[in-house]
Formats: sequence, structure tokens, C-alpha cells
Amino acid sequence: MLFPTPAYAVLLLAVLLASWLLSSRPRAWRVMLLLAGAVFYGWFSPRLVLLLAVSAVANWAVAHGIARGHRRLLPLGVAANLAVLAWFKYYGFFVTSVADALTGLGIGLHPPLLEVVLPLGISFLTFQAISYLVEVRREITPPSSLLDVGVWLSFFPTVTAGPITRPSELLPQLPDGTRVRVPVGEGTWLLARGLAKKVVLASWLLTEVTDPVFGAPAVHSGPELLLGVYAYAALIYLDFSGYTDLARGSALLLGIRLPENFRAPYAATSVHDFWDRWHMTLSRWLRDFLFTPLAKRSRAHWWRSVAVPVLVMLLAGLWHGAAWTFVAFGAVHGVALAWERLRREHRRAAGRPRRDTVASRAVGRLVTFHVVCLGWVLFASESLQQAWVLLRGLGSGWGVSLDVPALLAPLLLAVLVAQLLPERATAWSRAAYRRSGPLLQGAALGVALLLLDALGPEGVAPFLYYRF
Amino acid sequence: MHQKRAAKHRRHRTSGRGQALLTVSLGLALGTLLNAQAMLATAESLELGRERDLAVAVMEPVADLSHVLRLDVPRRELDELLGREAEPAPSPAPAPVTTPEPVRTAGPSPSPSALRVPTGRDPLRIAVVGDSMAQVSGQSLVRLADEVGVARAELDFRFSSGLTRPDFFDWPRHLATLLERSRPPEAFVVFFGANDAQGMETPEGVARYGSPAWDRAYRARVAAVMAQLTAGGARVYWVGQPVARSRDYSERMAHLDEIYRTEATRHPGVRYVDSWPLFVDEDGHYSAYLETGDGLTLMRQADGIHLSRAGGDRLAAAVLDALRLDWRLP
Repeated sequence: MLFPTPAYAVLLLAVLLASWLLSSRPRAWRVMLLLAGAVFYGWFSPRLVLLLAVSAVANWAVAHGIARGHRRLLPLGVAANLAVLAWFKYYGFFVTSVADALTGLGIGLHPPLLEVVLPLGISFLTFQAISYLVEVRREITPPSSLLDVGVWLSFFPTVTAGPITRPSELLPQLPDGTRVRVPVGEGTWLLARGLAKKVVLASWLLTEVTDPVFGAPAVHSGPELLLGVYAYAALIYLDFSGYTDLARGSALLLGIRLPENFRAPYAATSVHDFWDRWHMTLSRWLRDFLFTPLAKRSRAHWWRSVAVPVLVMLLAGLWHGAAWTFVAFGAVHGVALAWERLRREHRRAAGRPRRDTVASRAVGRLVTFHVVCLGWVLFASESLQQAWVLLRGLGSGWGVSLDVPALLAPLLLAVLVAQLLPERATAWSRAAYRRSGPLLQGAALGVALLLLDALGPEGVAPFLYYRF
Repeated sequence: MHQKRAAKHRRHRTSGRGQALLTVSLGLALGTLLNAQAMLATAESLELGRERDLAVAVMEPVADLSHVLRLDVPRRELDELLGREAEPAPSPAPAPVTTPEPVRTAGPSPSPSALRVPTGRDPLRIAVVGDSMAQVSGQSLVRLADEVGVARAELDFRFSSGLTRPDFFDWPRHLATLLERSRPPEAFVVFFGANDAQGMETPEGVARYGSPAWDRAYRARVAAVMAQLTAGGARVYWVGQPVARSRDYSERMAHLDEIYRTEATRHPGVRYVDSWPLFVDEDGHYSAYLETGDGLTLMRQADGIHLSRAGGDRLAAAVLDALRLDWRLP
């Protein structure tokens, strides 16, 4: 089920009604949420619910085994989760890559090419399940009941594309029968903001700019391609952060606060800073479960400063998709992170502290934004060859008239400026909305729906991150 | 005093589940009333069947209530302001019922010499039209045409559209606007059908897919579009649907292809581009992966219907070959 659809509105309303009716019965409330998750996830394909159920039961059993002292079950459980991910996501990529490599060596191979259909959200499910096992092993979280594990993994706001939650931050928020305070104003504000980002802005950018540019880069001039790349940067931010707003808003209306996922990422002054602001729940997962354990394996300078950042970002790239374009995307970010780390260490060794001036921040933002854009070119292209055509085309056709929608430049400027504004600049409007009562908030939501439906296109494209 | 104010703010900021339900219910109810006419139009554009009947049955009284309360005014004003006035009524369905007589069997298409020779200064004007299937293959054709140097293709596709539901998107009316240009397209690449195996309204009532009435009506619509596009001398390259993963869906598409193929032979200036053999394996079956010059390559998207970039490239190359039969293209 997609968030910006009438079907989801009906589901959300039914869940809020049930949540209110069952507010003093925590067990029934959990069962209701489990059913809502099954409906939401099963809407795409009922078979997906089976996968979710098997994952919940298996990880619940492994966690209990770990808690009883069978600590060797942890690597086994992690491997099993990764194996499921690998099967669904990387089988075709692996087989074709091996076959191509062998063909290059003159060895003809015809491997069985099964068409494995990628279950929606499998990457997010895998990371959540692994974090559960690790947290139980580290005794951060006690092993939970099967019902709680099921509710957490199938939680409908997060099941398809995150934010990637930890059991220690979500399970304690499940109701225990006491009265739950719900930040209604904040929740509905996020819903309206998410709809505006996705339904109006992202949809327009996708159909009017990025699809034509990335679909046939060779027929566009350099300036058009450059604007197309900037547009993709805006698009992927609006699309994914819009999804996250809708997920967080929906969860807040149930009294559950999900972690932040975006904090003005294009205001970042370094690539390291970017990953502290972009898809933050993925970044912290990679840091806690991959970067830190890997870095601890050796004290060697090259390992910690170069190999680990590059390796982690290569894996992060591969996590996004089974294609060489994603590997290259990871490589760009990995190399940039390693470079920044080496530079920082070099400055420190030379006794030269990092300059923090308005000019240095501006330069940092400009450079970082363009490194990130280079990553997006690889990320959005369907092949390395297509990415190369686009990058090469950036240098051609300057001086000819532009064939882009007139609204594009103001929109891109607005997206970028909004990221540079301090939080307090818009805090008054959010605060005023939150302070108003349900009548005013409901009326504002209704009027917002009028504007969004009128301004948005017919139909809604799936969220970009549903692919992962 | 400060603590009292803070406590008051906290009370305002958070509330119970009942208030969440009340606020969202109010918002959705008001949003539904304000957008009722547009939602009714969306409901009416759904595929004919129970889901559509239910959606229309729910939305009709809501739209009436919205009208009585004059809550439909803001949306109407807004649509006018945005230049999105209500869609005009669909163009009248072409006279159906009778199977079009084979007026004349299409002879060989005009030889390249009968058509103008496209140049770099005045390239061949190609319009790629169709549904979501035209998206990727159309983008590939736009690129390939550009590489040819003497052709310029434009892509004009609409998701979920086709010839069965002019109430959702009226292709004949839209194509008329392309033909009215001062320099209209000289070649149309047409790729319909993926959404067309569904019930459609005809003057005789709703025709269910699979019935003889449906076949007659659909064939007439295909014939009408072919006649419309070729009337001014443009050439048409009607792309057939490729095999799909689902056997049932493939059978439906094969049935549509047969209609396109036979109608193409009846309309001079129309070539049928058979995409089926391009996407089958050695045994003639659907295969997501197929051999290309780069080895085994994924040709289809995860839904088993739409084409991947490589699939789009393969189809676009075949369309370009068909164009070369009529036009002097390098």
C-alpha cells in the first residue's frame, strides 16, 4: 500500500479508531497493529506477509537462544538474515557477473537464471532483524515476546522503507495500558509536509525533469544535464524525506516516535557531515554494526582511515541495489570519506586546526554538494555507460538555449535555501499549528489535502526507496 | 508563571488517542468533501468492475453533498486558476459493432523514394505515444533517433492509459492536438495495449474483455486511431505487446497483438512492429534475461511486464529498423 492513496487514508483511520478503542488493552492493541501491518504489507502481495512472519518467528527464536547463552547463534542468525537478502537481491547480479567474467576468459557458461522477485523492503527488514539479534547479544534489549517482535518488524509506517529502527527505541514505546500522550499537531504537520514533498514536488520533478534527462542523457545539452542532476538531488531528497515524514507522522498519531532520518543534508559541509544528515538511521546502523567492529580489527592506519570507510561505503552502495552503478556510488562516497579523514589527520599532525569561517563553510557546502551529485548520477543511472554519457555531456552544448520548465530553477533554489535556513526560522509556524486545537488542525489538514490534490498529478509513482 | 505557561503548552502539544482520531477524521472528511468531484472522476476512471462500482457508489453522494454545501467551489476555482479545467467529454467512440470490412489490403508501404529525405537541418519528426510501456522504449528511441542524426523523436506517454478507457485519458482527442500542429509528426510510434484488456463502455453497454462485442469495439477503436493518424499522410509504426511473465496476461496481449496485426494490414501507411519474438528465449518462452552483445542481460522489470533499459534499447532498435524501411535513415 502506498502512503498517498485513499486506501492508506482508510487504513490509517481504521487503525486510529481501533487504537482509541483498545487504548486500555495493550495486548489487543498489539494484535491490532500486527493485523494493520499485515494488511499494509500484504497489499502489495499476500506472499510478502509469509516472508515477514517467517522472519519474525526465526529471529525471535534465535534471540531467545542467544539470551539463554547460545552465543554462537548470533553469527548464524546474522548469516541467515543476510543469506535471505542475498538470495532475493543479489542472485541475478552475482550469476550474470560471474557468467560475464568467465565469458571474457573464453569460458562459456549458462547458469540457471531464475527470476527472483525482490520482496519490498527486504533490505530494511534484514537490517532491523540483525540489529535485534545484536542488541540481545549485547544485552541492550531483553528478548521480546513473539508478538512484540512481530509488531516491531511489521510496523506499517516503517515496514517498506524505514526509518530503520532499533528494538531498544521502539519496543519500550508500545503501550502498557497507561494513558499515552499523542503529539497530534506534530503528527498531522508531518503528514501534510510529507504529502506536499511527495505528491506535488517530487512527482513534478520526476515526470518533468529527471525522467527525460536520465532516460536519454545524450539528447540534452550540458546545462540541461546539470539542471537535471540538481533536480535529481532535490527529487531524491523530497521523495525519501517525504516518505519519512509520512511514516513518522503516522507513527506519532499512534504515540510512537520514530527516529529522525534527514536533517538538511545539502547544508552539509563535508561528505562525513552529509552522512550524519542523510538517511541517518542507515548511517548509524552502518557505523554501529559495520564501521566500528571493522575498525577495531586492526590499529593499522591505512586500515582505519582508508580501507574501512571505502569498504563500508561499497557495501552501503551494494545495499541500495545489485548493480555496478550502486557499487560506484558507494566508491565515490567511500573515497571521499577516506580523503577527508586523511586530510583531517594530516592537519592534526601538522598542528593546523580546521578553519571554520563563513567562506570555508560555503566552499565546503559547494564541494560536498557536487560530490554528492556525482554520486547521484551513478545512483540514478541504469548503467555505468549511461552515467558516463551524462557526465561527458555536461561539458557540451553550453551557450544554447535551455529547454527546461520555467519553474525548475525557482524550485531548486527553494529546496536548497530551505536547507540552509536555521530550524528556528520556521519554528513559529509549526508551534502555532501545534498549539491550535483539533478543530483548527483538522480544518488545516483538510485544506492542505485540497491544495495537494489540486496541485499534484494524476496518480502517484511509488517512492524511490521502495526499490531497496 | 513560566512553569504554568510551559505546562499549558505541553497540554496543547500532546493529547490522547481520541484527539488523534478526531483531528485526522476531521481533516480527511473535509479534504474528501473539498476534493469530492475530482475523487468521483478518479473513481469513475477505475477499471470497470466491483471496485469501481463501490468507489463510485461511495463518492457520488459525497460529491452531491459537497455540491449542496458549495464545498466544491474552491477546487473548481483552483483548477481554473491552474488551467486544469474539467476534461471535456471523451471523443465519441468510433462506430463499433461491425467488423470493419477489409477495405483494401495494405500493399507494400511507399518506397523510401516516395517520402521526403530527412536531413540534419530538417530531421524526421517522430512522436512516440502510448502507455507506461512506451516510457523506457520511448526514451531509448529518443536517444537512438538523436544518434541517427536526421531524426528527432519526442516521447508523449501517459501511465495507465490505453484505448479502452477514453474517460480516463482520451487518446484520439490528444492525438488530434498533435496533428493540428503547424509541423505535425511525420511518423507515429504507437505502443498501446498493456492496460487495455479490461471491460469498456460501448454504445450498446459495457463490453467484457473476451466477448465478441469487446473484440469488435476494440478493433474499431484501433482502426479509428490508425485512420486518424494516417489521414494527413503520416506513417504509423504500431508496436505489438511483448510476451509477459504471466501466462494469462501474455495470452491477453497475444490476442490484442492479433488485432493490431490484422488492422495494420488493412491500413496503408501502418506497419506492425512485432515485439514478441524480441523477448522470448530459444524455446519461444518469456525470459527476463536474454543474450545480447554484452552477455546475458536483464530485459524486464520486476513486474514481468515492463522493459528494462536493455529491453527498451532492443525494442527501440527494432522500431528504428522499421522506420528505415520507409525513410532514408543512416
